[in-house]
Amino acid sequence: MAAAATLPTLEDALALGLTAAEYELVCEKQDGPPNVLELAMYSLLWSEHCAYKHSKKLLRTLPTEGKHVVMGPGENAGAVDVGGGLVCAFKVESHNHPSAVEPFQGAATGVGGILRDVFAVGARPIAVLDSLRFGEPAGEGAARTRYLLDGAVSGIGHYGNSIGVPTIGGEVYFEGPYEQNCLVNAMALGLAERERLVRSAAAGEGNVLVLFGASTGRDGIGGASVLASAELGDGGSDKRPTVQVGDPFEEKKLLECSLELLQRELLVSLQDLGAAGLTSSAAEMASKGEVGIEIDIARVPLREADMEPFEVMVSESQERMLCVVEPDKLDAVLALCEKWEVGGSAIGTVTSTGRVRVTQDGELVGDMPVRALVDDCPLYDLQPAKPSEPVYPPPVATLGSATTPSETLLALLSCPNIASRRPLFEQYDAIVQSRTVRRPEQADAAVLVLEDAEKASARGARVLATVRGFGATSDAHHLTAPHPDGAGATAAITKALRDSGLEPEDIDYINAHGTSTPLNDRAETKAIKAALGDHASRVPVSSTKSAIGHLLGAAGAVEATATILALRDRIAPPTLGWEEREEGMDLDYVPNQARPLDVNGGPAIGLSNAFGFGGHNVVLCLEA
Amino acid sequence: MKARVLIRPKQGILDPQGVAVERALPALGFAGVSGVHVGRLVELDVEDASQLEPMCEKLLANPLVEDYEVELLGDGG
Amino acid sequence: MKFGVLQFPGSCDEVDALQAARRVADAELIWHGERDLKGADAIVVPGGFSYGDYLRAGAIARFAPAMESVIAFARDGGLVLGICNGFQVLCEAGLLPGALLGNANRRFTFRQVELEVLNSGGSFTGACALGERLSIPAKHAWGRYYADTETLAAMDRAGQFVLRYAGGESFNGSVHDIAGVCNERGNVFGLMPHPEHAVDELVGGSADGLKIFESMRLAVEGARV
Repeated sequence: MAAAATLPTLEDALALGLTAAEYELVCEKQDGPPNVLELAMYSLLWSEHCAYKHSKKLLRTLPTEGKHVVMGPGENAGAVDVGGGLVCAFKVESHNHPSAVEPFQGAATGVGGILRDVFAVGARPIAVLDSLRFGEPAGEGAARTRYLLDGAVSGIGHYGNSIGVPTIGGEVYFEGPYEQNCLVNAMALGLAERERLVRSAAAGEGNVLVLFGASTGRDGIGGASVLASAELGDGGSDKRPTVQVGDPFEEKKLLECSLELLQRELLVSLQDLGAAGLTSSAAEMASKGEVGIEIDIARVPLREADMEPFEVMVSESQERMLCVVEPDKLDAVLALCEKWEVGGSAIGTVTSTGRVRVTQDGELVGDMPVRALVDDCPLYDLQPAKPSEPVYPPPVATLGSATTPSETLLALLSCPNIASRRPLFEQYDAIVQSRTVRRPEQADAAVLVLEDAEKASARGARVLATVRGFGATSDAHHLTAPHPDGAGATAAITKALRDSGLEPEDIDYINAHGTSTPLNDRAETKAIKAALGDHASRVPVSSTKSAIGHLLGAAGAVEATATILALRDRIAPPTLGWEEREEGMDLDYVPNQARPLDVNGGPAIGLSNAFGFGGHNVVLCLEA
Repeated sequence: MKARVLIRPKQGILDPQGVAVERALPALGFAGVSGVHVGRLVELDVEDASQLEPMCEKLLANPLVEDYEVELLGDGG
Repeated sequence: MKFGVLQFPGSCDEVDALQAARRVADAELIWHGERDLKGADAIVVPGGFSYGDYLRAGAIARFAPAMESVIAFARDGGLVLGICNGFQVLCEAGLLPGALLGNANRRFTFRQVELEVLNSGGSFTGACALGERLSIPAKHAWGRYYADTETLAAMDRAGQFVLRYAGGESFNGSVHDIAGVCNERGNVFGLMPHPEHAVDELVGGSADGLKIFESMRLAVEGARV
C-alpha cells in the first residue's frame, strides 16, 4: 500500500465533510484507514455535489427514456434526436454557491462548465441561456442584490461572448427569499451529427489517458465538499480562494481542439474536468467503462511548483479535458493540441484492475477500488417534515384596491419582475454563429391598445382591427377540466356572436384555444359545433399554440394579435404538427400548411378563443 | 533582472474606468479624491534591460493612447 | 474572385464572415500561422476575441505570420476589411490610423445600429449611396474610436471617414460618432459593427451588410477589367 507518514484521522474526515459512518465505510473499502490522497478523493466523490447522495433515490424515479432520447442520464450531457441525422445535446446546471461568493467568476465558470459538458459529448455549443433569482433590488438587501445581479450578468456575458456562443435567452426574478440563496443556472445547447456523439467510458487496456487544456494549479482545492455542504452568506471574502477564475479564451481553444479531435476520430472517449477535477473525471470514466486507471501525477503540467499529490488530484483548475487515446494515435492527438495551443500531456493508462492507482515518479501514492469511489457512496432518504410555520413571510401586497388604473399600470411597469430586461441582455452577444432568428425581446409578449373608434380616428391612429363584440363566461365546472360537452365555451361563443350582432355564417376564421390536450380540443370542437351549427364544418379553425406553445402569461393577447394578423392578411395560420384525425374531431383544422382565407369580398371576421382552468372562457369577435 | 512597467491612459483621453472609480469612492465614504486613472501593470524578468523600451513601444503599450514608465527592480525584486 | 478570411485563436465570427463572403464570391479560411494568403483577392480580418483580447484587443494577433503577409498585401494595394476585432488588429498593425478604446458606457453592448454612409466612392461602400442608412448589428466592449485632432483633420480632408453611427445610436463614445474608417489610399477599411451578421433578413431583419462584401467584389472585378 501507499507509504504515508501519518494517516488522517476521523477528525480530518469530518472536517472534509464525511460523516463518521461514511469514514468507517471508507476504511472498510480500503482495508484500513485511507491516506491523505485517498481521503481527499473519497471526500470529494462522496460529497453531495458529486454523489447526489440525498437526491439520487428521488432522481431515479424520474422518467428518462423516450422515442427521441439518444443519450440519457449518466453522460456529460443529455441528447435528443431532432431529425435530419442531427441531435441536440443540452444541460442545465446551477452555480449558486460560487456566485454568492464571487458573482462574476461564479457565473462565468458556471457557463464555462456547462459548455464543456456539451462539447465533451461531441456537440458544438450553439446557445447559452441563464435563469437567475435574486432578492429584492430595493430596500434593505438592495446593494447586495445589485452586486450579485451585476456580477452574474457580466460574468455570463464575458464568458459566452468571448467563447463565441450566443446567449439567446434567460430569465431573472427578484423576491425576498432568494436574498439568502441566490440562484444562478446556466444552460448550454449544442448540435451534433448523431454518429459523432461520444461517450465518456474509458476502454481498452493499455490505452493512454491524455490531459489537455490549461495547466493545473491550486484552484478550488476542497471546493466541492466545502461549497456543496456549507451555508451561504455575506461574509464570503475568506471563501474567495476556493472560487476559480475562468479563461474563456483557453476554453475556446479547448472547444475547437476537442471537436477537431473527434472529427478526426482520434479519441476513444472524452470527459471534461469539473468539480473535483481529475478525481471525478478519471474515476467516473473508469467506472462507466468498468476498467481501472493509473495516473502519474508527475506528468500533469502544473502551474505551481511543489503541489502535493492530493492537490493535483483535487484541483479544480478550469478549462481542462481528459481523453482516452489508442497508443498509435497519441502523436496525432498531441500534435493537434499543439496546433490549438492547448497543453496536452499523456498522464496515465487504462488498466483492467478495476482500481484507481495514483503514482508519483513510479511510487504508489494512492490505490482505491473504482466501485468504492463512484458507486458505493451511501444513498440517503430525505426525511422531509413540513415546517409548522411558513419559512418565509408572505409577500407584501404593493397594490391596493384604491389605486387608480394609471397608478396600477405605472406600478406594474416599474416592478422589477416585469420591467424590461434590456440592460441585461444587451450585455450578451445573441447573434454569433448566425443561427439566431429571434433575438431577446423580439418574441415574448403582446400589448394591444384598445381605443374608442372616434378618438382613434380623431388622432389619425392606424386601426388594425375592430372588436365587434365578446363573450365571457365563468362556469367553474372543474379546477382543471372543461365540461366534456364544452358547455361553458359554447355559451361564450354564442354570447360573442350575439354581442357582435352576427350570425355563424359571418365568421371566416376561428383561432382556437387549441392546447393540443384531449380534454380541451374535444370540448372545444363540440362547443364550436354547438354554437355555429352547420357553418362549423366550413370555418377554418387553427391553433397558433402549435407554433408558439401555451404562453405563461397573456396568451390570449398574443393569440388575439395572431387572429388580427390572420384576418388582416387573409391567411389562415396552420395547426402545425397535426398528424392524425380522431373520431369526432372533424372540423377543418388547417393542417400543417397556411392557406388563404376566403372572405367573399367582405371584411374578415374571426373569433379568438381563450379558455382557462377553473372555467374562465372568453371569446373575442374581431374584424379586420 | 526584475522590471516593472506601468501603463496608463494618456492625459486628455477619456478614461471611463477612472471616472467610474472616482465616482464610486465618495459613495463608500472616501472624500476628497480626484484625478483617478486606471492602467495596467506588467512585471517581468529580463536578461537585457535595454530591450524594455522597445518592448513597450512595440507590444506592451499602445503609444498612441498610452504612456508608460519602466522601473528596474534589480535582482532582489 | 476569392476572399481570404483570417482565423486566430479566439476568433469567433470568422465562420460567419466566411459564409457572408460566400454569398458574393469564393472564400476560404486562412490560419494565423500561415504566411500563404492562398491567392485571395481581398482579405477579411474577422471579429471575435483573438488571444482573449489579452493585453489590448488585437495587440497580439497583429504579429501573427498571416498578418505579416496581410500587411505586405495592403502595401501593394490589396483590399483588406477589418471587422470589430479585425478593426482593432488593423489599428494595432498601423494599417489604419487611430485606436479603439473601451466603450464609454464601460460595458459590452449588443445592439442593432443605424449607420450613415459618409463616403460611397470607395472599394467598400461602392454599392451604397451617399447618405444611405445601413442597419447592422454592433457587439463589442472596446469600440470607442480615437485619434488625435491633427490626425482627424487630415482624415476628414482625405475622405477617410466612411461610416458614422446615425444620430444618437452610438453607445461607445467614438469621436465624431465614427463607426468605420479607411486608410488614405482607400484599400484598407475597418468598422466596429458586423456586416457579416446582416446578410439575411431571416437572421436579424437586415441584409444591408451584404453591400460591403458586394462593393469589394465590384472593386476587385472592376480593377481586373
